[in-house]
Amino acid sequence: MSGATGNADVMTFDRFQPGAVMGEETVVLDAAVLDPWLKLFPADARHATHMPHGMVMTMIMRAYMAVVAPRPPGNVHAGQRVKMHRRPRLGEAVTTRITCKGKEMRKERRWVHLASESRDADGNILFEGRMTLIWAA
Amino acid sequence: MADSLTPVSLTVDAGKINLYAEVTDDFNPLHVDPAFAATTPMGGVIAHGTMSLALIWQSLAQTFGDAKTAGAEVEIRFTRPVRIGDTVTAGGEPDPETPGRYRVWVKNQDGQPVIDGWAAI
Repeated sequence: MSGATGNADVMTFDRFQPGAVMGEETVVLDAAVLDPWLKLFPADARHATHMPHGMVMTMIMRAYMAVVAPRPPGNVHAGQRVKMHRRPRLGEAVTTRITCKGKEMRKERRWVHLASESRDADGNILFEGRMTLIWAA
Repeated sequence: MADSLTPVSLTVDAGKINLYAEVTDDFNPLHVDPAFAATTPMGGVIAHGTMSLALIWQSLAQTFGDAKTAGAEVEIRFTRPVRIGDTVTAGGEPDPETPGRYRVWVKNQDGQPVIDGWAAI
C-alpha cells in the first residue's frame, strides 16, 4: 500500500504518461536506513560489507516514495518483479530512475505499471524492478 | 536444485511495522495509524507488503548463499494483507512446470498465502 495527502498536484491516474521517465532519486545505504533495518532483522548484521539482500525493495521503495508524489491515499501494491545484478556495498549511493511503463483500466480498476532501474555512481546496473499498482484515484 | 527453500519467519507487531516505515520512508497511515486504518476497508493496520517480501530474499540467501542470491530474480503478487500479530513464513520448492525456477511464497500462521510467485537463481 502507498499513499500521501492530496493536493492540487496529486499524482492521479490520468497524469501517468506511459513511456515517460518520472524522475530519479539517490539513496545512500547509510545508518539512516541500515540501523532500523537491523533492529527489524538482527540476523542481517552478518552482512558486514554489502547490503542485505532483503533490503533491495527498501531502496526501490524509497525512490518510488520520493519520485511518485504526492499520491492519492489508498493505492494498492499488487505485484513486484525484481532482478538483482549486484548488491551495493554499505555506504554506497544507489540512484533509482522510475519510468511509467503503462496503465490500463481493467475490471473498473486503475492499473499502473512502473519500471525501476537502480544504478551505482558509475552508472552500472544494480537492480531492475517492475511494480504493479492499483491506483486509487 | 534445492529440494526446498530454507524457511524464514517473522512475527509482525506495531514496532516492526514502524521500523519498516522508517527504512522505506513509507508512513502511510494505513500502516502506522490504527485510528485511521480502522476507518478503511482494511479495518485496521496492515503491514507493508514488501516487508514480507524481504523474507523471500532472506530465504534465498540462506538456501543458496550470498553470492548466488545477489544475481537472483523474483516475481510475486501480494495476495492477502498481513496484520499485527500474524506470523509469516517464506519458503518455496522447485517449480515442476518451469525447470530452473522455484515457486516461492509467504504464508501466514493459518497457511494462507500472503505472497505467491517465482524465483530464479
